[in-house]
Amino acid sequence: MLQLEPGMLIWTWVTFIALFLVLAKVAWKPLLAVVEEREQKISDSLRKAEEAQAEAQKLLDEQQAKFARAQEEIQKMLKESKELAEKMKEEIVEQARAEAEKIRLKAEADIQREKQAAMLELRKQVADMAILAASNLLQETLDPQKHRAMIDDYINQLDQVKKN
Amino acid sequence: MMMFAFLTEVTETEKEEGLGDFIIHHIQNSNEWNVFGYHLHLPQFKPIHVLGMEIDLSITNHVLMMWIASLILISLFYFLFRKRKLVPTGMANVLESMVLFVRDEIAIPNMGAKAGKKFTPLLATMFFFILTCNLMGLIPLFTTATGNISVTASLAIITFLVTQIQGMVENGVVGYWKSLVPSGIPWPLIFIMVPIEIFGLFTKPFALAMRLFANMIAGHTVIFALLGLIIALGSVLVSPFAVGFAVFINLLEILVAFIQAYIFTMLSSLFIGMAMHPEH
Repeated sequence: MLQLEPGMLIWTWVTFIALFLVLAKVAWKPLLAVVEEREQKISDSLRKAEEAQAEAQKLLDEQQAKFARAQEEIQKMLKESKELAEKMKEEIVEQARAEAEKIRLKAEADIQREKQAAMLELRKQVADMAILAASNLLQETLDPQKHRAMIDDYINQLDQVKKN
Repeated sequence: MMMFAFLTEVTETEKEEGLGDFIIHHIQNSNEWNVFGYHLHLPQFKPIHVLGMEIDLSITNHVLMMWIASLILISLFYFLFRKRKLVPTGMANVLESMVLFVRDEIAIPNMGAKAGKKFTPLLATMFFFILTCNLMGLIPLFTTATGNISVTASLAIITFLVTQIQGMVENGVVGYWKSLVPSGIPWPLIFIMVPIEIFGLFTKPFALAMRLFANMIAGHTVIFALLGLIIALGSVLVSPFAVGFAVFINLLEILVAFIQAYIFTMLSSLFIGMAMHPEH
């Protein structure tokens, strides 16, 4: 039972070597080639995925930086326009105030002038009336009837003057 | 089924032979193939005499079993991997993961990535051949070729030769023989170390052959012995226990078949790897 038989040894070698050669061609070569191909593909895919992720991250960072810059720009512009508006508002208000002042001054001057003119006119009229009254007084002697009429007349005249 | 066929045969024809002889007879190599009780006689040739050795090249039962195992393996791999698919499915997936196990868990850790990939075909052939022979021994109709010391010895010799050749190819003839003796030992020890190391070269494949042979023989012997209890004790009442234990041992044998195929391949790759990288 524990004896080595040369015939069996030879047959085993022949069988094993034949099996090895056939399997190498039929099984191991295609099988291992497919496995290597698959491993290659997997590692390639992994590498590609990593690259794509890095690229995406880069783009994202860029976009975020751009966005932040734009935000800053907007803030700046907003501030500037606010300042401008404020300035313009102040200018306009100032201008309006000046205009109003000018109009007021002009109106006052006008009023003053009118008043002056009116006073002159009044003075002239009063003088006329005084002259008239005086002339009336001088022309007629006074009696109660006549006086009354004269005074009424005078008052009427005064009213007329006032109306004028 | 076959077991019972054997048993009925025993009761009829070979009872006088004794159980021990019967067990030995069924484990040993023979010149016939027992197919459902019919003894098929296999071709026999006259021994040739070469260099004073008598070489009997008859096709024995175990040679036939090895051929059947080879045919099973070749057709299995041929039909499953005929179509080139990037991701295998079903049975092809199972076989592929086993081949990858040989490559990634046996060859590459022991030999390094480059040599491991180079030796994967040899180691995978070894693994599948031993595994198929082991498993065939569990199927009625077939016998265990790996339960023959000549078969395991010749496989071990293949490992031995590959180890020596690869060691010399990798380190140079002189470098390889020098590397057998660990460097940095005091010189008087060399006289002890050299014989030990040379002796060790031969014990490795010897242990390899013995381990596989003994493991394969043992399970079968136990199964036959358990079933033989029925006849030895001459009572049908024993049969539930005997058959129950035999089934248990048979299941254990499936495990052993895988483990032994793994160990043989593992140690082969370890020896080849050690010869290639002696300092590690």
